Amino acid sequence: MDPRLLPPIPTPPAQRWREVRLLYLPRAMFVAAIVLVAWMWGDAVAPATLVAEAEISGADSRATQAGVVAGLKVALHQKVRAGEVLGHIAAANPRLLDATLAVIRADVAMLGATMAGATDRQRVVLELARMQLDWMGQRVERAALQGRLQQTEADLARTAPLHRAGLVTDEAYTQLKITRDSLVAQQDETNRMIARLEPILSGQNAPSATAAELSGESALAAAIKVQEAKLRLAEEQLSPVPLVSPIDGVVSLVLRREGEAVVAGEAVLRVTATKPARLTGYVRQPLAFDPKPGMTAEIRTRSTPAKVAVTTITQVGAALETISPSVLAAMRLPPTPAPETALRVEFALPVSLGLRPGEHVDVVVR
Amino acid sequence: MNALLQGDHASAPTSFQALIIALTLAYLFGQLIAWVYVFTHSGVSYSRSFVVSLIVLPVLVALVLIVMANNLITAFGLIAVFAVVRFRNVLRDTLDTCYVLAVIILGTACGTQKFSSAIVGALAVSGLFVFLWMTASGTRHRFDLILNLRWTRPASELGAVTKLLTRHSLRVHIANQNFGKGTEAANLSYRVLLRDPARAAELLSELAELPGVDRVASVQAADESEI
Repeated sequence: MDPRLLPPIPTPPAQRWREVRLLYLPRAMFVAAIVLVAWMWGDAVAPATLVAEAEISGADSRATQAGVVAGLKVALHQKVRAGEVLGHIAAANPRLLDATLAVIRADVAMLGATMAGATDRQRVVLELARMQLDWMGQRVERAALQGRLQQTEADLARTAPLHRAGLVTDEAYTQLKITRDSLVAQQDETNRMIARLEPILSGQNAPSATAAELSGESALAAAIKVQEAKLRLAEEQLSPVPLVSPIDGVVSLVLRREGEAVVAGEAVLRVTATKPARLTGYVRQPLAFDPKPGMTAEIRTRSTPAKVAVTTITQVGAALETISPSVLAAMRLPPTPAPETALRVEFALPVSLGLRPGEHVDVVVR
Repeated sequence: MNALLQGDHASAPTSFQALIIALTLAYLFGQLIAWVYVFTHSGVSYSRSFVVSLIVLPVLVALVLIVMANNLITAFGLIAVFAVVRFRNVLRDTLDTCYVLAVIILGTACGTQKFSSAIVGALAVSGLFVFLWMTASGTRHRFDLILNLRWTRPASELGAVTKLLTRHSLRVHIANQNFGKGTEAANLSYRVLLRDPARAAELLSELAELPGVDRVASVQAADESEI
């Protein structure tokens, strides 16, 4: 047998695969890993020039006068429109109003008592005045009822969840409802009485000046007018002041609950816009570059998967400002970083990213 | 997929892109250092499992630091667990230590509620272990057979043996040549990587039939010769 004439024996596929597996696969894997890292590097590793925040535009709905929060119609995260009534402020302390009404009631009664001993002619005029006083008396009653009803409604609203939780007995809760229904019924009845008297009184003429001078009706009419003005003031104070949403958005914070007392100017609700107003970032010191309006910047979201968009700088701050705590936290600095000042830069908001208010993004300024 | 990647409970969300890059880069550096070690190693203490450990350890360290996430308490816990395991077990093989470390890290990840990191880490580490086993990583000299024979013809005619070996082998390495004094006979030792290990007997018989070849003997050379 001459070995020179013998060809190499064939290598079976399993043996070829073994060669590939042991010799080439580790190298292929190494190259593939390099390619993978290079591919992901731009998205996950490339350092950002700065961190920016989609700034929130928000506004508070405040009480325009002191009172008690009543009839809040919105809940947290509920969408509202600018000008929408979100609730009411029951104007004043019902006890104070009760006292005011009691004074008016006493004054009206005193005026009624002074009408005794008049002549027939005077009697006709005085009857008219008495009817006016009755009418006012009914309005005082209605105002008092309205105050009590508001108080009872607020109590009922506060008690309902406690009753559901079993912290208030059925008896107490039912009693409160009966009181409320009773007040509503009384108020309806008083409204009917006032409505019946009003057209009669509006059809009558005021007594003539001469007769008034002779009988002293002028003083009586003036006193009635004073009481009527006082009554109108009390009625105005009793009517609830609406809480209005200042902007379109969602209710992001409920600072005062129903039944809580507020002072004039106190915020009751915070409304936050659903879309951010601008994108703000800070160039930290030492300033690595001089940002100028019009410079191009790449915005990269931190969501999964990350979205990328190109935008421009719209404004650059004049002075170095303290970095906002939320942006400072988003910079992933070591724990408890010290506050620092930086140059504030605003970017045009890329619509394609669909950023939420408060969202943080990484920015690479080209 | 999103549900799988949202299983980490931590003060800051885990970036899985960063996690994958960290593990891949760790593997790349481990593999690079292992190759450098293999090519530059001298001496008799070469261990294949040590080379595998060089590849696996950076990946495990990257994973442990991701799981710890700057949490000193977790770090102390992990060290304490490892110390307890090490105290009661003598781990002579570096690769065994790597396996122990891997399970401790995965346990720590689960215990600290970094479930997604644990899943990704477990898949990555297990996959790497299997891959390194499958590719017999760290092997320096891989042969199927050690052939010993006596050549009685002149040394200049050894080409006949080489041609026959090349017919059956992908790679041939002369391990030993021993020429006697005053005689043309020589004792030869070859290491061969066979084209088809199933036909090893055929090689032996063809060698035995070759004029000048005397006393052919073979020994299986398995991968385990380098532990």
